[in-house]
Order: sequence, then C-alpha cells, then structure tokens
Amino acid sequence: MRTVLRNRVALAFGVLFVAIVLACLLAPVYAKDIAHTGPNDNHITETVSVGGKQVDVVSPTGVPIGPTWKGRFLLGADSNGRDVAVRLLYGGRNSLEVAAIATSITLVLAIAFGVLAGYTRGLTDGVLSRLFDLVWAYPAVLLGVALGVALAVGGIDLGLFTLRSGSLLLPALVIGVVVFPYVAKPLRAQALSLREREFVDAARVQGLGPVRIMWSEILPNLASTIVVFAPLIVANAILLEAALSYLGAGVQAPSSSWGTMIADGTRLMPGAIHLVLVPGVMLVLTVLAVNVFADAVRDALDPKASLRGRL
Amino acid sequence: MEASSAPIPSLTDGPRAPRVSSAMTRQLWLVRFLARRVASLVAVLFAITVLTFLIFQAIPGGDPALRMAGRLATPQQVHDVRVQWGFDKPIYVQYLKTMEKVLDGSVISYSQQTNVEQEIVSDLPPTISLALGAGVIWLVVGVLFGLLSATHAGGWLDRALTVVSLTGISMPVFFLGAIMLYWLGYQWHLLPLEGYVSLTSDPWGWFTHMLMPWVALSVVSIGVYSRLLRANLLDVMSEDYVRTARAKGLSERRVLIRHVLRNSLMGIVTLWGLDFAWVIGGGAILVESVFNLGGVGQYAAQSIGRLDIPPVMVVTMLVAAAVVVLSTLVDIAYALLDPRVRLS
Amino acid sequence: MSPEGLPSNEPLAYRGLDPTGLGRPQGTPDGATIGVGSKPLLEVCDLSVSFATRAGEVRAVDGVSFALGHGEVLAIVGESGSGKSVCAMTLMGLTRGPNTTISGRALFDGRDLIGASEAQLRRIRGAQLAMVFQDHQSSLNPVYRVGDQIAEQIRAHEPFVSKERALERAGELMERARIPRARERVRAYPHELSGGMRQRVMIAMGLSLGAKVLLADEPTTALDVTVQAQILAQLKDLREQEDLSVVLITHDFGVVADIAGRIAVMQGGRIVEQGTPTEIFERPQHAYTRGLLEALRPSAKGRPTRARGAALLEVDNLRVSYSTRGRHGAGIDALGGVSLTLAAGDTLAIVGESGCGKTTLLRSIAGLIEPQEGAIRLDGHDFASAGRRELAAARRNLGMVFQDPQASLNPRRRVGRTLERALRARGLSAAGARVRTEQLLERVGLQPAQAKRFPHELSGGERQRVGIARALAGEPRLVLLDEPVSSLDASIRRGVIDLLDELQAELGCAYVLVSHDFTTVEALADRIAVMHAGEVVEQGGARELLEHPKHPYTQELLAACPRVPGLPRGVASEAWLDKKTSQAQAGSLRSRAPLPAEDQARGAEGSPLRPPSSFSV
Repeated sequence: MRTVLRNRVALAFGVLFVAIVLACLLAPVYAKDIAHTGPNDNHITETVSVGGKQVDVVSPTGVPIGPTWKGRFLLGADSNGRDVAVRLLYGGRNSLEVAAIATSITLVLAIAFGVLAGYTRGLTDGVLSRLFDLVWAYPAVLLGVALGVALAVGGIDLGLFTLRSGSLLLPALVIGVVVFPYVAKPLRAQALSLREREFVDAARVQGLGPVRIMWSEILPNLASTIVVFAPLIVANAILLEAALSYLGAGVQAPSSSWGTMIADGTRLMPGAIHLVLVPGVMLVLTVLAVNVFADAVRDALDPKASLRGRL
Repeated sequence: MEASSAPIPSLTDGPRAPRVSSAMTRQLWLVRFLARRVASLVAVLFAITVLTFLIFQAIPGGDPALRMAGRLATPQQVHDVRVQWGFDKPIYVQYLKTMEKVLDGSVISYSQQTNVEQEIVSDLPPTISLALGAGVIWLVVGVLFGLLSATHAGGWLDRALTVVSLTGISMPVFFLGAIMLYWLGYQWHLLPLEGYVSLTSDPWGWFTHMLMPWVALSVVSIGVYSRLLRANLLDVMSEDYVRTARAKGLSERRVLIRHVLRNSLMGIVTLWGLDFAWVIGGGAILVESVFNLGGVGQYAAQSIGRLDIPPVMVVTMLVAAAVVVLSTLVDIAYALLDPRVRLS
Repeated sequence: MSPEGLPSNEPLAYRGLDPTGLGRPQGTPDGATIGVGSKPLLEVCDLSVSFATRAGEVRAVDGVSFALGHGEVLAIVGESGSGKSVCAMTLMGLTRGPNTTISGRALFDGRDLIGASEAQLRRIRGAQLAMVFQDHQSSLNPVYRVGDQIAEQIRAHEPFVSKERALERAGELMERARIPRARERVRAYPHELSGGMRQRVMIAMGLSLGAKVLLADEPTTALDVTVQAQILAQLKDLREQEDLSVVLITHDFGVVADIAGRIAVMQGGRIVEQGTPTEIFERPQHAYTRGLLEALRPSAKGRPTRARGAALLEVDNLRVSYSTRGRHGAGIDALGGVSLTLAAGDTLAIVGESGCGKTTLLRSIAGLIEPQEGAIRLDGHDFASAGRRELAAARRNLGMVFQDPQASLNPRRRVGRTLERALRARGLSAAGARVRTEQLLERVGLQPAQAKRFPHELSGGERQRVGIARALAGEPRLVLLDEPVSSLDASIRRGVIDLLDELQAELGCAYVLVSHDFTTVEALADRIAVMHAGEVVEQGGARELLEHPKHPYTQELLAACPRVPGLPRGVASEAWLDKKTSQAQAGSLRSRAPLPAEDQARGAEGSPLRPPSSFSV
C-alpha cells in the first residue's frame, strides 16, 4: 500500500476518482444550491442571460445552448432544455451505482464459484468450468444487450424478488453476470494451483475439512489477485454500462446515465457537440483514473513487475 | 472490454508429454485432438442456442408472445405469434420450433415485416470489413507497441506507450467514434461522414469510409492488447532459455526474434483471438451505429431500440456461434504451434 | 593465507610463476603444479558486482579473485546467495544492465571481459567461453529441436556453414557426448529427452565451437545421483582429452572431491578460502569451510541397535496407480504392492531416486492419497480405504513435516497462529493453545517472540523448525518427514537433524523419513527401505544395509553417492564410474543396468532385475 501511495501519479488519479464520486453523490446539493434546477426540469421555452444578452435556452431550430460557465447551465442545456451539468451529476450517480453493484455481484459470484471449482475439481469443477466457458463465449456486450433487452421489456420475476423494468438493479445484474467469468477463470486457476501447495496438504493432514480449508487457507491467498482485479472490474463495469445504455439496453428513461446522455448527444450531431463531449470526457476521466490506480496497485503487488520498470 | 483475464498460456509450464514420441504418434494425436475439439464445438453451439432461447423466450414474468410480437402488435398478431412459436406448448417444443425457424431462415421481424436472416446476410459485408480491417491494424500496431514497451521496459518510451494504452482502454468506443466523426468529418471535412461503400464498387471510397471506424475500434484493442503483450514478452524475456541463447553468443536481434517472439507467439495468437471475439460481439455494434455502416451490429442495435426481439435473438446466436468457432480455431493453432501440448 | 588465519583474497598464483604480478606465490606442501609454465587462461582480479534493487544496493560479489589455467578444474563451492552464480554470469556478461555496477578485472586469454563491448563479448561467448546452467529443463527453448539449437550456435559464430553441415556437426557432438541414439535424437524436442540427456546437450552445445573454458553452474544439482556421476565423468573426460578448463560451481562438496584440481569456497560474495582438495578437506582454515565440512560428516552418535518394540505401522501390499489422462498406455503404477513395518519409536528411512514412488508412499500413509489396494494399519486400525471418521482418528496420531518450509506454511498467516490453529484443532482452548505454542517454539529452538512473524520473515532453517513444531503439536505417535532438510543450506542441516534426533528420543515418536540424501539417513535411520520404480527392492536394519547392501540397485545407489574423502564410505572409484558410463552408452532411455557387464546377460536387456520384494533381515 505504501508503494502505491508513493507513486504520485497514481495518487493524483486516485484523488480524482474520489472527487468525481463525491461530486456525483452531492448532485442534489449542486442542483438545489448552484444550478437551481432539477435533472428533469426542462426549460425549453426560457431564456437565459449570456454575456449581457438574453439567449434562448433552446433555439427555434432545436439547438440548445452550450456551456455558459455560470451557475445556471454551467455546461449548457440539452434538447429538452435541461441543465447538462445537473444531469451529468445525477447520471453519474446512476452510472457509478450500477457499476458498484455490478462489481459486487461479479466479485461474489467469481470468488464463490472460482474457488469452489478450483478446489473441488472433479465433477463440480467440470460443470462450473463449462458454465464459465459458456457465459464467457458470449461476447460480453452482446450478452449484456440480449439480457438487457429481454429484461427491459418485462422486468424479472424470480419468485424471491421482482425487479421492475425501470430498476437500476437490472443493468447491474446483467453486467455482473456477464463480467463474472472473466474473473472466475483466473481465480479458479489460482485456486487450482494453490490447492497443490504443501500448506494445504498440511491442513488436510491436520484434519481440516474442505470448507474450512477453502475459507481460511485458499481465500486469503487470493486476496492480492482480488485486489488487483477489483478496480479493473469497476472500470469495465462503467464502460459496459455506458455501452448498454448507449444502445438502450441499460439504464432506461426517465433515469439517465452518462451512456444515455452520449446517445442523446450523438443524435443531435453536428450541432451541440457539448452534449457528447461533456459526458464523454467525464466517462474517460473516471475510467482512466480507475485504470491508472489499478495499474499502480498491480505494480505494487506484483514483485516481478518492479524488476521490469513501472509507470 | 477486458478481453482476457484468462491466464495467458505459458510455454514453460513443464513438459506434459510422454518422454518418447515419434512423428507418427503426434499426427495421430493431432487427429484425435481435432475430433475432440470439433465435438466440443458442436456441444457448445448447442448450449448457446439453448441459452439464447432461454434468455429470450423463457424469462419468467411477462408474456413471451407479447415480447416477440413487439410493443405495437395487435392482440390478433400476438395470438398468431403464440401459435407459430408454440408458446402454448411445453418448453422443449418451443425450443424446437425456434430452432426450426432459425435454421430454416424463416424468422420474421413482426414490427418490420422483414425476414431477419435475409437482412443479416445483406448486412454482412460492412461488418466483416470492419472486423478484419481493425483486426489487422491492432495486430500490427499492438505487437509493435508491446515489443517496444518490453524491450525498453522502464524507459521513457515504455512509459509513454503505457499512457497511450491506458487512455485507449479508458475510452468508450462510441465516444471516440463520435469525436472523430465530429472533428475529422464535420469540422475539417477530411473523411466521409457515414455510410458504407462496397469494396468491389469503389475501393478508394471503401477505404475512406472505413478508416475512421477502423481506428475507433482499434484504439481500444491496441490498448488492451499491447499491455498484455508487454507482460507476456517480459515474462518470456526472463526465461532461462533466453539467457542460454545470449550465452551462446547470438546477436540481440536474433534472440529477440527467434526466441522471445517465437515463444510469445502463442500468447499473441490467443490474445488476438480473444480480442477479436470482443470486437465482433461488442465493439462492432457500437462503431457501426456511430458511423451508420449498416452492418449486422447496427441492425441488432436498431432492433434493440425498437425492442424488436426476433432479430436480436438471431444475431446473438449467430455472433456467439462465430466467437466459439473462432476460439476453437485459436485452440487448434495453439496446439500446432507448441510441440509440447498434449491436452487432456 | 595470512598468519592470523583470516581469508586472503589473493589468488593462488602458479606455484612460483607470477607473470602478471597478481599476487605472491604461495608455497604448497605437496607441490601440486597446475598449468606449468603457462599463463592462466582466465584471471579474475578483485571482481565486484552490485545490483540496485528496491531494497537498496545489494553486493552480490565482493572483491573476488581467482585464476584458471589450461586443462584445470576449479570448483567454486558455496551455498545459495554466496554469489558464485553471479560471478560466473558476470564473466559471460550476462549480468550487465542499468541496475548493475561491475568493477574489477577479468582477463580471458589476455582480453578484458568487463570492459569489452557487447559485440566483442558476443564473439567470445559460446565460441571460446561457454556456460551451462543448472536447470536443464528450462534452459533449452522448448519449441525448437535440440539439433537446431546446437546448429544455431554454430552458425551464429560461423555464418558460412550451411544448415545441413551444422546439423551434422550437431549430431556428431551429441554422439561424442554419449547421448544414446544421437543421430535420431538430433530431431528431438527438449521435452522428449531425459534430464541427463538434456544436460549433455547443453554441454555439447556449449563446446560446439571448441571453447576452451566451460563455466558450469550447478550442472548436476537437478539430476539424480547416478546421472550426476555420469555427467561428472564426462567433464573429466573432456578435461583429459580436450584440455578443457572448467569452473565448476556447486554447493555440494561431494561432487567436487573427485574432479577438482582446486577448490574455492565462497560466502557472502567473497572467497573465504582456496586450495587443493587435500588442503581443504584435511586442513580447512576458515571457520565457514569447517562448518560446511562438518555438516557432511555422519552423526557421531550413530544408531545403536535396540530391541524392536511392537509394530506401530504396518503397510500391507499397498498399490497406488494414476489414471491415464493425457498419456499413452494404461494406468501408471506409482506404487506396486509395497509392504513395510515400523516399530514404535523407531525411524524408517525410505530412499530412492526421483520417481521411485517414495513420496507417493509417504502421502498415502498421510492419508492424502487413496490407494487402489492394500492396507495401512496404525496400531492395528486400517485406514487406507477407510471412511472419514477412521481417517480423522488416524490423523490424530500423525504429524507431517514437508520438504519446502516456504511452501508448507500459509504465507499469509503468522507462524504463531498456524501453530495455534493446529493445537485448537486438537481440542485445546485458545489460551491453552497460546501457551503450548510458546512451549513448542522453544522446544524447537526458536524464540517465542517469533510467533508473530510471517513465514517469509524467517530463515529457511527457522521455517522448517516451525514445520516440525506444527507436526509435533498434537503429540503424534508417528511423524512423516518428506525430505525435511533437502531445501536447507548445508550448514543448517546438521542443526535440524540433531533436533529431530533429540525430539524423537524425548517424545518416543516413530519417524518415517523419505530422503535421497544419505547423510540424513545415516544420522536418523534405524531401518532403511530402498525403493525403485514403485517397489521396495530391499529393506533392513540401517547399519547392515549401508555396509553390506545386498540388492544390486542398492549397491549402485550407494556407490554413486558423491562422497568427501575421509568419510567411512570412501570415494566412488574412478574405475567404477568408467564402467557406469560405458554401460549407459549401451542402454536405452531408462536403462539401469545394475550389474557389472558380465552379469548383464542374466537379466532382461536394459531392465533391472526384480528379486522378491522383501529382503528384510
């Protein structure tokens, strides 16, 4: 951990990420106190004062204004006259929330099934490995799209719980399931090799049962792999959510996310490019921050990497 | 997309072969291996069709007939759909009817009134052009970057390339595409704005129309690929046999090409195969939509937008099948490249 | 040596000849002369190599000086971390890099190696100065045929040689290196050859262009004892016939006794002592050298024969086989019908070479492998194919010590907690476990404070002591030991062996010890069982078996063990080694012709004779 903190670049990006998260969480505060408008309030017929003149929020030809760099419409408006900056933060909240839930789902599934498969081998492993391979063979976006669409229309009812079609948990669930084999497979491989290590033998000779061994011998040794993977999963979840939402298979209206905002923006191209740039740049910065941080963590944890040079 | 967190196959995983083997035995083994892989391929394809079917038809909650018929269907249409697809019958009958329609080429999009499979066939050229062109670009550039990074590990070039790669990875493909379209297309009028021109009718037009989509798609893949390759190459470079090669007095160039690259070939091929799978499965949809190439991916995307299920289902099945076939080919290439592989 | 007995780093110059002014000539009692009248071929003067690492600057080699003449074998002996490998690799220029600082002089045939450019060095490497490495498996590129790899070296230095001609030369070289069926094997891949053959290929490759100096870095460490003898014989031949000079790097004194003209002992990057074998073995000056030699002597106590107690452990016709996955042919029998007995409080040592099944046997007794057939009875209760309950009951009386202390302790748990868990599994309370942990640590010679350490923070010897403590935690009646000292440095082994001896005397537990190292066996064993290819070929009382082995394989095994002169067993005679090499030539891949040539006719060609499986006395 200390090594990571010493890496100033990584630290800077880590701080950036935290700042973005905080900003999104504080969306209501921003909406109320600075922009004085909500994410869905449209001001399509209003005018706003820019450089001394009164300008239509949305011009008669349907082109919304660009950034005013002031409290209201800081980053401009969209085609419905809504404040882009406010929507950015609210959308960011959704994007990050979906990513966070998806990451948790992925980690839980991957750890549970990966360790189980790697340790027990035999039939259980055979079945689970086939399952991983099957889900993994499905190209992620396509599977996500397929599931997303199927679920978007009718929601899901598993008896235990129901998710209506507008719920954020749906895309989170989809992403979590789609991404998990990418993590489960390496974890399984590591559990497999750990199982052959002598300290597991020693535990078996002592008479410890398989569950206890998986929990207290294997799992702690996977910790560093999990720590390396976690930020990568977060980054990919954010990107996947954006892609799904862009295609309409992720977050559904009236909720917004960065992906839906970019989709809206591309529809208006070439006019109002700020509608694409603002959420896009935000996305890139966020994911970049996570990736740089993840890289630094990986460098710090992987002793071999230090011998070869680092970022 | 994180194209491969699967463990990169390592050449020095210890010999798994029996000690003595003759050329004859290896040929025999290759044949048996091929047979096994093909059998497994068929099994996986079957599983894919079942899974797709389940996703679209069998999700609990909601009426499958309604889903298939689309949101604008009349009750009569819904009833017809129910009968044709067998939704009133047990689930395996439904599956069989679905597969029958798919293999027959008779899946119809109700809201569009078109035959899905015909649409797909006519939409193939843009998708294939996109995938192959991008594939070549990122293979060449990715290997180049990876090689440069690994041989200058720790130096400024390595760091610069890492920054470039990381930025590439963090970029959503559709965003990059939109930005390129805006600057290069609308603002500076360098390249055509959209659409696809077939290779046979106008090669130059084909090229200029494909250039931006290719770059957009490659950037992300180059990022992922070159970093994984760098790690792989560094691993190989620290192997004992590379040290032996140097001790033999070989020139650095020879060591690099004949020993390092050759032994990383497996990793290169496998990783490329995985990335390609991602491209077909995901990147293509997004890029086609941005640049309006009219490919299979865009078709699927538009259908999603209309919540028109039949095309999405068929495309999903098709692409997943293509990916599985591709990864089988990669496996086979892997076995051919490594004289020691004897998979169980 | 200076008068105070402190080590001198000055090289031993050539008995009166000192053309380079490197140091004062040292008189030598028996007047051995080396390279009479010739300039030394390789001269190293005050060589220092340090690496800049994350943890600071590490001095791997510190002011090392030595010289090597024509046709001479210099052995550099030291433990892991002594810098001997780094030294050799620096001569080849393989340690050059941005983080490396090299100072001093190394003259090869008058040319400076340290200051040479990469291009100059490349011309020397492989052509005049060759190196072979320890790990024969990973040192050859797995995707190219061995003949091609040899040819590659030839053509790199002689580009006008055609590919066919180079391959032919490769075949000739392999033949001369006594690789059976060399012409065929030119087209083989490395994984298709045995370890010994791979190492011969490495040597042949290194010498393919007539190199005058061979740097051999632990060339036989990864090989079985009998194969090791063959490789050493080959090196001797090369020295005699081709006037080859060899720098032989090893950690094993026994290996060098027979072959070295001079020995240099390295510790912590420095040469602490140099001399002829006689000088080093009979009159070691430096404390470190003395320590190393001491570790090789058998225990002075020896093992008095005792009255045999009741049988504690009985193994009855045990058979373990592995299924065929991925291999040709039927299931492989790892153990084919093994029977043993062990009395309470005694030590049974199981010896044999790699692949003989001794580890499988031990793991079966530990309950880690389920046998196909046979019984394992502890105190009369058979648990070989028993249910979980019997297995758990049996395990309460078992303890196991593993070979690699690093791998056998959970790297993420403090050693104290590892011991406490073992104790709590036996039913102790948390507080009781803590107290007992401290007692155990003290008993094995560690400080109670070390309970808070992680395995990687302890030394190899300390880790193994923790492993022993863990095995003894439940006061077992039977302790299984799998190569308990093999991964430890020679100077620490003695301590651990003595500890095991004391503990057995104190606690009265029985040991089943698996080892390939006879020093350990001699110190601890009451009975010995010799295994080969999954079967016990001879069993008996330790002393009796070691001094009068009956089975041909046992005889061969004992004879091949490298020995330091002055010890009871004596040096493996040169005549015997010669015979071994010529027999190996005639045999097939796994040939183990156990009998002298005249008796070979009696057995099947190339396969060992199989007498009845118990020779128990």
